[in-house]
Amino acid sequence: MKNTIRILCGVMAVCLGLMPCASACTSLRVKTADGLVFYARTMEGGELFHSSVSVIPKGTEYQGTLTDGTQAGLAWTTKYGMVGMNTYGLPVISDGMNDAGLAAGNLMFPGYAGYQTFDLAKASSTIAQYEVITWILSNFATVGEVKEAIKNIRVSKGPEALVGKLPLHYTVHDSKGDSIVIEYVNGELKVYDNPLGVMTNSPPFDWHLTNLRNYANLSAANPKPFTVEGLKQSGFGQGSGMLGLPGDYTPPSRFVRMVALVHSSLPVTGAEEGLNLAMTIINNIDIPIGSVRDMSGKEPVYDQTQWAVVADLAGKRFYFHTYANKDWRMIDVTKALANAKGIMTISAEMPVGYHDVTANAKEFGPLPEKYYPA
Amino acid sequence: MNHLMRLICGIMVLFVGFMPCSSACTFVDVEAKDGSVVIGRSIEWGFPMEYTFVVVPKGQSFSASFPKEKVAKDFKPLTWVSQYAYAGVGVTVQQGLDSAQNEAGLNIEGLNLPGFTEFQTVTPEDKSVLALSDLGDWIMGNFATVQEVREALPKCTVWTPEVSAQGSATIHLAITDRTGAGIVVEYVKGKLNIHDNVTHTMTNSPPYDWHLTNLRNYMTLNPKDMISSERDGYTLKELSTGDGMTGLPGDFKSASRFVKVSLLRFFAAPVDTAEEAYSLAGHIINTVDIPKGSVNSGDYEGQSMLETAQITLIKDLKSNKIFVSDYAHRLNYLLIDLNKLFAQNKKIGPVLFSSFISQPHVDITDSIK
Repeated sequence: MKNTIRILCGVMAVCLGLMPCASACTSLRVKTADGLVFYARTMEGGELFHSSVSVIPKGTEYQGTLTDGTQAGLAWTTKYGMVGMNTYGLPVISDGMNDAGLAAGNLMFPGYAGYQTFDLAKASSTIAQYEVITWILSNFATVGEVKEAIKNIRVSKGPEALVGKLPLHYTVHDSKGDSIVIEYVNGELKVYDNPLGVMTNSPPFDWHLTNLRNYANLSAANPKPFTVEGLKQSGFGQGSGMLGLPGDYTPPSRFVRMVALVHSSLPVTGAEEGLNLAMTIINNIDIPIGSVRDMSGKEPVYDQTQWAVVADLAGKRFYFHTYANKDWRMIDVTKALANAKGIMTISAEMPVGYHDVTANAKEFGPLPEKYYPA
Repeated sequence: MNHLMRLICGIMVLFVGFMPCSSACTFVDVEAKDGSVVIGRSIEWGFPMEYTFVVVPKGQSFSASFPKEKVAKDFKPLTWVSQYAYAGVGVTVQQGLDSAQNEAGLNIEGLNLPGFTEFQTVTPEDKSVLALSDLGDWIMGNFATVQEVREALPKCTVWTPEVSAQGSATIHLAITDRTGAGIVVEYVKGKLNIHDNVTHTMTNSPPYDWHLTNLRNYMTLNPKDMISSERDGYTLKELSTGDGMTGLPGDFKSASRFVKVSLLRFFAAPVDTAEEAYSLAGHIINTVDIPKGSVNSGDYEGQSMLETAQITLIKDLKSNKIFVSDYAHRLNYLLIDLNKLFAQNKKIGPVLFSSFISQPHVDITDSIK
């Protein structure tokens, strides 16, 4: 098992090294009135990650990758089983949840991510930055546990030539509704409580929080009509209280947009409503190919929302859809792990299967005299 | 600072405790090809303030104030004799100089940084202790360049007394010298942060490094117009000139003013002479001029706090000049030639600006032939 993982990690490192840093990610948390927690996130990126879903059972052995390219870092055995979106089909989770109801994801953090200096003497407590989510989901049930334990490991860059370009920060949520953001800046670990549950990309989390204060004027309520020089004026219909809500795809704008939507939406109750709200909000970030272009290379790189996930932390269900197939698909985490014979993979791509409702047509009868609703 | 000024400040410092920290300020510096360095700066308040003008000659003795209960028993206050003559503007609610320049061409502007500023805690180990109210006099009297300030300031502990339960003065400083070098000095969480003022601008909260990051949100702004865009046989044409700057924030909050003046300065066509630099600095500062009524920062004792740029200053650091106007006389500026005042080698003021600001319109009717 361990050897396989080592090889896979090595291969993955090669693949990741090719990724541009232009990709974007958006994440949020929804809490229902009855205390259920849903976590949703998108994965944007120009370079296709060819993600599938990994099902990794309890008892799987991992060992961290060191900066020098050896697979001789922190060794651990998964305490919890987990399900999540991987990258290039390899069992290193980019975003997922475990069977204790903890969800975690890595999000791009270009220009700021600065991991801890690689120290060979501390190799046995070191992992690479792209292994953090797998390590978290393997070991912990609550945000409180992660907060304590993250201090005791070292997170260094993966092999320079391979994954040197991969700048990540991390969002973690538990089924009680606690959330944190983990960032490494200038070699220093920073753990922020995240009361809002939203995270996107650069700059660092505390900058985004301050930035929200620029939008203190936004209101879910439409403004009252006003009179200028005797002329009565009112807003152009619904939504005028949110005029100025940024609609572009930069990380600060997506952050503000998600906070505005999560925290202005009416409280919902129950798993179905919570799931629906999380999906409704995360749908606001869905980049049609072409609208976001990275022109820094020879050829333009087009960002797209490669996939989105929603994790139901109480119900332990994991939902995802892809750019090509917007149908939400569901994995019952408990069942998937119970059935797992070792590490399993579920393909993320499948033909779009629209429900054909043609056959549901029922006879209505003749056109009534009055055909408007009473 | 003479006795009158101390008295005024003493009275008014009691006042600051009751004031909501609503004041806004905008700063820009502009260089001309002839080497002129010109400051443009507005001082906004929502409450009627009085502004004082003072000239300090070289050779004046100063002794910095310190918190007696916190220093060592054998503590000796920081003293100095001013090496340079300088002139400054005080706001009567704040102790010390809010805006000043010296004969060597060093300039300081104090702008409000509420919610983030926290000055240093004095300990018995501290030898060089300065109150915020001493800082202007200390910098003006001792230094000629930004580099000198950058080296000297970290050796001092800067404190300010708690004036009320609502806290103390919350000021950050833009310091500029005759070469055009500039820094922003901020005290956040009791720690001194010195930033290179790469944008040559400053406004208010949050701290400077936040604003600098925020500018990256506006990289699409461009002085060049997009003339037209064609897709599938349908052509979009610009509605008017200026469309490249669509999205330039126009509101008066600090973050927006920072973006606005930073980009206007960034894109400004180079100027050749001091006169052109005065004009450019004035035009940039004008873009954040608030018509009274558009910014209402709440009620204070039953009065709406309507913010305006109560004083606007244009300052030439090479030829030691100040151009000043107040809100009531924004159409033209009055000139104070500091070299003439420095030559008198005596202390002047503090005098209230309101006692001499009165700009009659220049009547040119008869010159039209």
